[in-house]
Amino acid sequence: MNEKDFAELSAGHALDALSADDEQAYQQALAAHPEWEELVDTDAQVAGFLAEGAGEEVPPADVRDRLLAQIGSLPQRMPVAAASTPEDVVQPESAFAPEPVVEREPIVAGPPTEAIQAVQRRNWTRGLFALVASAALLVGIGWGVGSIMEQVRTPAQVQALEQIEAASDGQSATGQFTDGGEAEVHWSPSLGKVVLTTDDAPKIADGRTFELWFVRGDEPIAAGTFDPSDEVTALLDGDFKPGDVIAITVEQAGGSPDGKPTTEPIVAIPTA
Amino acid sequence: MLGAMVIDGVDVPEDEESADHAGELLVRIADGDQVAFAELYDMLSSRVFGLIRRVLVDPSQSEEVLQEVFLEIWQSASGFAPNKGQGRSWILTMAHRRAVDRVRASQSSVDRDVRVGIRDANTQQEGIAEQVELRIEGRRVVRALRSLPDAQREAITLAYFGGYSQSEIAALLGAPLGTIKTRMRDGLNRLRQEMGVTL
Repeated sequence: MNEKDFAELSAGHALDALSADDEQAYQQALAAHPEWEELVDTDAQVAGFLAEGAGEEVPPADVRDRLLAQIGSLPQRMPVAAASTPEDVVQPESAFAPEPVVEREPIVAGPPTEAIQAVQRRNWTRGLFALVASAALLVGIGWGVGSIMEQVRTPAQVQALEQIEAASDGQSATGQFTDGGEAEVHWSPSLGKVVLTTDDAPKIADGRTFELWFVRGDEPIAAGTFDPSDEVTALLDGDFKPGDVIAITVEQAGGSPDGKPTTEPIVAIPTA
Repeated sequence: MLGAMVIDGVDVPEDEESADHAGELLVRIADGDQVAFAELYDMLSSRVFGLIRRVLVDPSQSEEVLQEVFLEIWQSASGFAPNKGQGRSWILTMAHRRAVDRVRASQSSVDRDVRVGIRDANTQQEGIAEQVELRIEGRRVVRALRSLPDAQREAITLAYFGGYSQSEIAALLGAPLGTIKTRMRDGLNRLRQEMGVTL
């Protein structure tokens, strides 16, 4: 990595805006080039200046009380040199809450903060990768500005439907329910997703539910349930193969217990 | 390189060691001094909370992160190196990072965006940057940001005050990731020059 590339990473790092991959690249480059530390410090100062733009806001008073109660029983991390003597935990002077009467469960009980943070960071990384992957996909299919925001806010099935409609191989087919009403199946082989929408779906008894199926050859594969309502948008669970027939049966609440349909399909729509 | 830093509303020359109140308190906190911890909290909690709220918006989540940050200060005060910088910025840096970590959890960002009105169906990307900019209060910072070219200001504002990652910003603005990275780099450089003028 040259210094110019690093300078871009350093700016992103100072603003806490790097992707997980870039953050890692940044850390590695900095470890290999301690002489770049100066730039990092400078950028941190600019970020510190920005922090002053946030204004002040007085937090609720009970946060202070909680914190002072908690630190009384919270061991401090030793400086690295002293880390090998864990029994040498600092016993704080008892200015505040010397005997932590546990009436309010300390938030830090259980895993140490560090472990919690590690988990949070992992979750964050996963979420980020997912977002980045979708962003790349969205760019690939030429979605307009703002689609990432749309995507975060929109339920998965609606997102999937929009993705399918925007995909170059997106297709759809309609079928009639046996008792009237219409179902439409939308799919994209490249996305491997199928969404079913209904218009005026039939009424079914309380305690019953619609179950979706991929019918592959003779074999029905359960693809999730949805509850009756006039207009449904349902994303099918599971792996879609082009040529599957999409079918709906009426099953007991929660879906067929043995994973096989117990009734005849009320609609079936082929995808090829 | 900065002429002076603003410390708790008072302009204090940067090279005056004793100006780093927060740093001194951190050193005492590292020794288990609970009084120093309470003092530090009283001195900076509004500042830290303000920053977290700007990024995260949601009050109860912001409160959780505030608590998380101060517990981390208690636990890792020994990691603060007084020779490497101000205690105040060490704390604000930590607070910003924790707030961003939290906002990256997708539900938090949904909540946040709903609250700031970003998720109205018709809002365009300029609207988002403007919404985020409205949350910036410090006059010096606003002035310094205004001096930047629009594209640079937008990238920096969305990142720092909006908590958006570079990839998110690229998708948001429909610009290549590399362009966003360059805008942030150039923007920080200009901001650094501006700081000298505005401080």
